[in-house]
Amino acid sequence: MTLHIVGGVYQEYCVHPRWNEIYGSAGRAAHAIATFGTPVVLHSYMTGDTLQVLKDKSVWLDTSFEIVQTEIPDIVRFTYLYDMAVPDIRGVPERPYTPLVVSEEKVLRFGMLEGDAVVHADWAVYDPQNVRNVQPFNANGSTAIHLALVLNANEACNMAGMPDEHPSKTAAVLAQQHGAEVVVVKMGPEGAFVWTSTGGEQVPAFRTNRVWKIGSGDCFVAHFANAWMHNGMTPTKAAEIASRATAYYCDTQGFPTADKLSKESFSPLQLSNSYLNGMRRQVYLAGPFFDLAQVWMVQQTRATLRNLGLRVFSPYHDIGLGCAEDVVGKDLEAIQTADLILAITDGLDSGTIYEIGYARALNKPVIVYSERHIGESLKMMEGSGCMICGDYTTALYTTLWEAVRL
Amino acid sequence: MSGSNGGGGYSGVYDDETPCEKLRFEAQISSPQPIIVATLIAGDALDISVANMKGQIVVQVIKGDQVAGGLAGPDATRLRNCLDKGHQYRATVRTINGGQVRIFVEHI
Repeated sequence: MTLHIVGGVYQEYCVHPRWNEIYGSAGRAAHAIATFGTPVVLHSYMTGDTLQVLKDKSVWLDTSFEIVQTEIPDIVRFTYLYDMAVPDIRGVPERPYTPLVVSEEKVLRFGMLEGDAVVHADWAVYDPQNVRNVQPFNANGSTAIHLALVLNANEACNMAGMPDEHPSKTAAVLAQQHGAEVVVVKMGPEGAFVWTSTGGEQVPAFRTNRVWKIGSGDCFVAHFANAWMHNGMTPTKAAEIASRATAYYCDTQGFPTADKLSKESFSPLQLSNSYLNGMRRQVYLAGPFFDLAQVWMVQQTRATLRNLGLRVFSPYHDIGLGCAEDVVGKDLEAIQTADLILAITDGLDSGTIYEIGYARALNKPVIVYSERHIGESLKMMEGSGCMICGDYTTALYTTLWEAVRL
Repeated sequence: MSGSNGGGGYSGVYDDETPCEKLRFEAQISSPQPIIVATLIAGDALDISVANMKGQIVVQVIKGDQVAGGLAGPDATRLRNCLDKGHQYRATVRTINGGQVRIFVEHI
């Protein structure tokens, strides 16, 4: 049986780490599912060039990969400075294209920027995506006998009109709104909450050595849809497979075959009772701020850590510039009260290195982010138990994952 | 430009004006073949060529005389056009992780 996927196919360009691909939610999901061994049909708006790239990709698959193109003049392009950055989006038409219509037995539908999809299916999975004017599944006339929603916790709160509410509360409301029998809410380090009419279950997120963020949510939805609709797994089992496949993607930037995934072992993220009871740990953000690039990095890192749900003490923001007697005592006091430290070490700023040593002497966990220094320069840090990350997004997630286990 | 990865600036998208001699980029191999990947290590040199598969002209990555996988995407499209014009490229293995291979492609 074939899975039909309908949604956006977009160009994705990331400056650093460099990434230049044609995927988008539907394009990525179709490739993820086909690589796993299930025949797919991809329905999307696309240019002739885009169609050719997808055909080139499909040649390398061992599974049937068909494309139903609705031709458009220009592709939607997402440009990221780095893989957690808010993208610059170009090419969205002023007026949405005429909706696509897909009437098939099993359909995975994504929300789109450039148009819409009307789906009539026996089985459907719907990811509204984080786009403007999120609509319920049936708002455009879509129908499904068996419907599952997959969305993140913020989307769930917004769609349910229940700010800051736990998925165990929002999921039932969303199921009612959409006529869904399954609601899966992605919860970051807490994994995913899977709601059905018989109750709710939690599946874990898995820890990886590296984190590549662009498209990780698409992979989760793709593998959930495949496991639930195609392989007939329970929603909870399907979500667990999806979580593991997403870990593989984040770690490798690639899609697993079924055989490959069965041989990979990822450890579930450890969540402390303190975290589960609402404690949010404080990160001391160590790093130089003596020029625009350094200040930009501190500013960006502070904002991103806060978006991840952490409290941040940033000497630049919370103490400011000053002479030694003005700032050093306050810096060290903040390290004493912090739960863990993220240190930006490119450039080997002496103040930052001092802060790392001070924190380790206090037995605080330290995450070291360094793209340019390996080996000798970081020997003391590596040898004293610091976690060394050569990639920015990985450093941010490692900080989060250490914080939630404290 | 010192430190450039050849990505063509912030827009980063190769177009038909990009000289083939300057085309160089990092990419992930499509459908990496596990038996070949198991023999690779970082730094290995690989060949780049075109082939006809399932009626399509594709770019393939070769180790010895065996196909390690393919290249497909905006960069690979430009690469294929340059190969068609007689330019030659080689690839170097950058990383191998979980059976996935990232390579750096550059003009010979």
